[in-house]
Amino acid sequence: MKLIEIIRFELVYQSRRPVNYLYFFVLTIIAFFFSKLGIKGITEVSVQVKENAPLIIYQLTSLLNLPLLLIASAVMGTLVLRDFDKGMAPLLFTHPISRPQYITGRFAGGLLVLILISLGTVVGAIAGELFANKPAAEMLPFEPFTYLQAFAAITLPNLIFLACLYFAGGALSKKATVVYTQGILLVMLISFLDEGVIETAANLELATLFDFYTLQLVNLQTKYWSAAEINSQNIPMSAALLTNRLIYLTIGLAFMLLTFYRFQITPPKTKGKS
Amino acid sequence: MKLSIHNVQKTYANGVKALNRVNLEIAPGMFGLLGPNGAGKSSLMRTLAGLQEADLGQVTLGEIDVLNDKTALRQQIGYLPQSFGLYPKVSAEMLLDHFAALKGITHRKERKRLVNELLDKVNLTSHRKKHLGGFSGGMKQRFGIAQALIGNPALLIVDEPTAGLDPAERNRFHNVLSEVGEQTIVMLSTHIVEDVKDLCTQMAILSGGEILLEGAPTTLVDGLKGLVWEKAFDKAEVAAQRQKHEVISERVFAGKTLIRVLSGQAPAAGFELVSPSLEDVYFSQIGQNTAKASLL
Repeated sequence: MKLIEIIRFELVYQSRRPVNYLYFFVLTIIAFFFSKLGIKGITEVSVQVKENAPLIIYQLTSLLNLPLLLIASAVMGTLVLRDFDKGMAPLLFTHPISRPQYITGRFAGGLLVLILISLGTVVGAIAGELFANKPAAEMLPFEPFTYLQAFAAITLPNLIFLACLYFAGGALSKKATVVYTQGILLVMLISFLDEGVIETAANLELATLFDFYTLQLVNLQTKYWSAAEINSQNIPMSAALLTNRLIYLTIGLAFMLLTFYRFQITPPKTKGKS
Repeated sequence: MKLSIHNVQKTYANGVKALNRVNLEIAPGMFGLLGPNGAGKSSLMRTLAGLQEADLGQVTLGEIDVLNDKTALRQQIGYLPQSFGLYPKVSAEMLLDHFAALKGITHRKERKRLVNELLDKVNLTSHRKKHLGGFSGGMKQRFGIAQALIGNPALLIVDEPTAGLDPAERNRFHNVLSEVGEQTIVMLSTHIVEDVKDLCTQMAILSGGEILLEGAPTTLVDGLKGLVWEKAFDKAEVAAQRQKHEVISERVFAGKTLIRVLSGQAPAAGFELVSPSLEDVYFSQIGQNTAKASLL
């Protein structure tokens, strides 16, 4: 019951932060323009491939995960930090809530808000397709499920991973500098992993298991698909893709376990009892 | 229910000994913990509120082991910290409702009734929909006491609550506290002697992490009867008087310095025996402790 109350309050609290609506709006606009203008030029696929083929939608969704790296840090990193920054901690922690209730409640509330914000990418991408004004011959019939599938396969696991990582950073450091820099550091780390490691790896199949965006992994798997196959087939939920997602979810879970284990409401004792 | 503090000790990582074998027995009513800044008052309050670990000692509130059973403790205490903040974009009503739910009041209607009652008690009913970010210092303190009173705590800990309040707010705050103190153990920490004088039936003086004196304020004041002397001096003479006598306090009055001295007999010609006050008790204790510390 208390856990539900903490989540409920978090949702109400976050609903009053104008910046959350700004994040949603920005994501929607970015997704809208990418989708409306089309990304085939960037991803180098055959001219016969339709603008809204499942693979193209998958690639678009993957691209839209980049801004989420920063937005997730701003949303998740501040969840615990704000109680210590704003001076609410001594009031909160003298009420009967346990550490797991507090951590789980703040995390779940924040993650729900982050998912809602991130749905801006789906809303924008769908709107972009609907307002694309492309000749009918270049388009497949509108299929919203493809966007949701891509969101579920790429964005959702990434959001959970990012949420865990950033939440842990904010909760364990309780420092604004960590919250404001961890997003940028992760962007740099993932870019390095993407371009410096995966692209140059000898064993590409193994390397793409660590591909955050899963773009290279899916490109590898659909490398020999004909235009007709790309236009007609959904992205396969292959063992490699599932392993990739599992790796990121496991890393996220490890950070959450660390948070449960290490997060302190009170500073530790300075001396042992005697 | 009684609060027993036995042999509590706390040393911070930087070596500062904040609490040194503190022992107190506190019954329901208003208990004043008086001490200068840095005496260890907040350390003791935070320890009692479960926000800080003691290095040694036992504390019990009735049957509750305060230092080891924080879940049970949190059901029974209300805490108003010396400094705290509030979510600026949330209304007083909403945040109180949230705290009430965390305290385990699950029934929505019961919560609403309680929140209204508390807001009324601290005179914030007309501001209940206002965002907490727009609250004045006094309003914030009154909100703080309202959240501390949720669930009728057996122990209410208020740490320096009147610092920075204007006299009207201070009076209002005192009225709320004294009403609560009729049924609850209210532990009030302050460096303002008047707060203790006006409100508390029992008190202790804490300095350098140690309890120097405890008892009922009236008894402690009576203990100095016939021992406090006063005389006005020119500013230039004050330093010499400090050497000669055990000076309790000095204050400027009508261009002269009024000196109060602790002595079993007339310290010198011109000194007048005066009625002791709680300030005399406080300053005499703090002065002795400071003198002792400087000798060490």
